[in-house]
Amino acid sequence: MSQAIIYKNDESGVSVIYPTQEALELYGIEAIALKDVPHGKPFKIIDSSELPDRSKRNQWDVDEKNLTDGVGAEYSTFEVENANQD
Amino acid sequence: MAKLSPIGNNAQFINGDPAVGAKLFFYAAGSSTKQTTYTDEAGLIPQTNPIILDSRGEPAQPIWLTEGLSYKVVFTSSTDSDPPASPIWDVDNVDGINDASITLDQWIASGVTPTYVSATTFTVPGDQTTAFHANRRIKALVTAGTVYGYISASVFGALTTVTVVLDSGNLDTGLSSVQLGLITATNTSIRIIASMVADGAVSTAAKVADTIITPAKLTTGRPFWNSTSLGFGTDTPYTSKTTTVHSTAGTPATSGTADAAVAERLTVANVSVDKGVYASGRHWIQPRATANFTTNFGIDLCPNGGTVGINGTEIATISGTAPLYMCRAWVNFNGTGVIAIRASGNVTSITDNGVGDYTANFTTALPDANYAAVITPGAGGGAYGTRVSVTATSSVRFQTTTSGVVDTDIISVAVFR
Repeated sequence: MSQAIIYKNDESGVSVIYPTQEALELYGIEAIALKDVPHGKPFKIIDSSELPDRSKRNQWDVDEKNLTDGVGAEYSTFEVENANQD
Repeated sequence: MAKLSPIGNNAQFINGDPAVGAKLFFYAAGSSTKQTTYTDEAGLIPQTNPIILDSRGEPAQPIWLTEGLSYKVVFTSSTDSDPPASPIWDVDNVDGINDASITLDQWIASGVTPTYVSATTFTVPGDQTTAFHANRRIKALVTAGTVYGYISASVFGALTTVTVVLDSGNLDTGLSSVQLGLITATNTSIRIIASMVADGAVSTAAKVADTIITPAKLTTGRPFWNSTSLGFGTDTPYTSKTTTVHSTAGTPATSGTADAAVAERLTVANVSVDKGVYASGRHWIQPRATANFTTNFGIDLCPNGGTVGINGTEIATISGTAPLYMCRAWVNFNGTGVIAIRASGNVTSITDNGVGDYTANFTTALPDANYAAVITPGAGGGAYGTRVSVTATSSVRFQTTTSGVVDTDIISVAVFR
């Protein structure tokens, strides 16, 4: 299964980030997590098969103590043009 | 193998009488160094030097010259000696008859003695403007040795004053001789002589209409320079096509007028289209004001029709004149179950925020959040609407809806700006 990134959102629910294949090949999942997880929020990288049944999607919860893989960075985009130029 | 001398084999006369006992001296051409002649074609038996003429005023044996050598022949009375003090006549640069090994010198003697005037000027006696005409090449002997150049002006007054442009060096008081180029600059026998002469040293008369190359500039190493028009094929020459070649890769300068990263330039009406290469090998093209790089201009591709392609693939078929704006980010994904992204562009990820609630995260930020996000739900899951809840430069958050939010199987997102 594919990997996903989870963090606790502002509505006290759980958000799950699914990377695109294009971004995974260019940057890797850690860099995507740092960029796409909101600034300051702890996250964990998991296998998407670990996610619970989606029928109760809005009842998902997670203990922030288990979100130990990193914290969302201040930046939220990659600037790819510079890499092409110089 | 020797060649028969064209001079001296007939009887010689002095005041109508056979030149009995008179002498023929043979020297190397242009010198007073004796050079051997022979009595036989095989070149085995040397003549005396000088040859003493017999009672009929003839040489006792035929005179044969060494093949490949040029001679100076001096005729004197019987009383003169080597070197002759009072020659009756002399002829220089004499070659044997049918001597094919003799090559023609590209320089010919001017026949006059130059008088130094200045570093670029000398005079010669009489009216020599025909031989010393403008743009003809010259070879002069000065104190430092031989110098080369061309005549820029030739004016006859009491003397002929000749002004020259030398390739290097100067004329000086040691100026002793001037030779002229065999090929003249007027009515020349070489059609493309303009390309063979330094600094455009060719008269208008020598140019052929469609082979003009002028003025060349050796000192700067630029063969086409200084208001030169250059045309290719049958095109009318344009007045300013500049090609510069810099070997430095880099980004284009954003100000000033100098840019070492420019590899090629086309200039028209004070606007230059500059082309260069980034260090990565990627090319750039930038139209801008030649005198101010802060002023940039655009480019139209195929303004009158045709299409534009990349990697052999046409990227757009456009009709009409309305401007075209490209999609800046897009994604197609399944929003049910475990989110599955089918394909995307400029999107790093989809955030599943809850039932029917998603965020598309952009790889590269948009210039602002005032873009148009077009989001369509698929049939599965029952959604028939969408709503955008948050637009940011780095992402767009949206929901797929019925009366409330609902997951949907085919969700398409396209962002335009």
